[in-house]
Amino acid sequence: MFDWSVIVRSREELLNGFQLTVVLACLAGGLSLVGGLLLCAARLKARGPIAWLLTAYVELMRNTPLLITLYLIYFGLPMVGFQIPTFTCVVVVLVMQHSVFVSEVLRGGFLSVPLAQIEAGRAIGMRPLAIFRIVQLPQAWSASVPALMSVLVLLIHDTSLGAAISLVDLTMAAKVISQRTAASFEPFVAIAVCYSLLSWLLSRAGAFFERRSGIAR
Amino acid sequence: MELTLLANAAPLLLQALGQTLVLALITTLLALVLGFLIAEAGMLGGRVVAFALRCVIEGIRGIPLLVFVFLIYYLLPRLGIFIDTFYSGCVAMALFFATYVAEILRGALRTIPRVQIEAGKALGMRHWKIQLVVVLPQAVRIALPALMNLAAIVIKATSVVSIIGVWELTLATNEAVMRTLAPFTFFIAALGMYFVLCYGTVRSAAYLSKRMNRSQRS
Repeated sequence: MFDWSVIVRSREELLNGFQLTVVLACLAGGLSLVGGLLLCAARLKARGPIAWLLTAYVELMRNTPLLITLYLIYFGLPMVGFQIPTFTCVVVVLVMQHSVFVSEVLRGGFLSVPLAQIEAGRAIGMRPLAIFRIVQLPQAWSASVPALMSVLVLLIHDTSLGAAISLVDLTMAAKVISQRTAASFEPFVAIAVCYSLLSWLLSRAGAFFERRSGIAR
Repeated sequence: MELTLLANAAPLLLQALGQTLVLALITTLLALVLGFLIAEAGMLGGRVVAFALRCVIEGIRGIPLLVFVFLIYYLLPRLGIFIDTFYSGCVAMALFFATYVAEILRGALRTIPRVQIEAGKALGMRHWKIQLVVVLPQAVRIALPALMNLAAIVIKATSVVSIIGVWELTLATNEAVMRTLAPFTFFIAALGMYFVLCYGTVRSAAYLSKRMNRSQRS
């Protein structure tokens, strides 16, 4: 009933897709972390209409499907004269969405640092940047690590949506194989294992960082 | 001109929105029932069953929803089950989100004091009666905000099954764009519709959790 040899026969396609997914996840993940930190800083500092706009953006991104944003950017940008490669498009959309998730997690982390500690820092004459670096950041970081890891796992999973606009990632590779051969089911088992492996590795890394950052508490 | 396009497609889009709602509703209900059963089995079945369930839950959580949807979509016919793509999508999403429901309910079921279960036994109630009459109503109360946030996630996730060809808001919007070549009009309209649904659900979850904290304090 099942023909597993198709996985071995088309291993090259699967490996290429795997490679693309890993590159995509690393790139989008790194950019999302940076973007999330900036967005978080902006949201904590901003007042008035800018704060309002940032909140609107965050709520919009949190409450709409990634797929629609992806289609909007992918089909919309060429209409206004921007031709961007599919890969770039997926990276942009992933970063748009996940920097919001990252910023929300970090914001929770920063808000969990008691105000009294910041005031204490000021009272003993620390500069604002020193307070940020020595008092706020380590505690916010260690409070955010577990949630950040689940955001990154979600990001890896969301890279699969790139297949909807024909980016040849792991999911698309399986789709192509399943359409070409009679074995429609088996390639998806193979890529499910690949995705699980990536998620598992990331959660191990998360546990490692959590143990290390525990010192900061 | 763009607005005329939108007005022309409005009945179709609203119908698709209804389809999205039906999809989300069926998925959520199935996931609730399945999730409850999984949580119960984990508590009743001893170590081996609990371990096996953990493996399945972690396994499903490790893969993207899209991949899981494809897996179910291609697996069902192999098992001799031929159902409409719509139901195939429902089944896949229900199984996927049941693991999340199980996790939420497991935490909530634990908060119910054991004394109450013992009191139920002392009154001669059967296990399922204790669970359904004593434990579940309280657990659901505790888990409700988390479950409603999950419902918002389910609404967003329904867009994924458009990829296997289930006709709902995302697919209908996509088709409208292919016909009219007006991506901004239609995708922004779809964004708006999803936003209203999800934001509404999330806000009512926040409101409910606030209200319930109030009642618990007094």
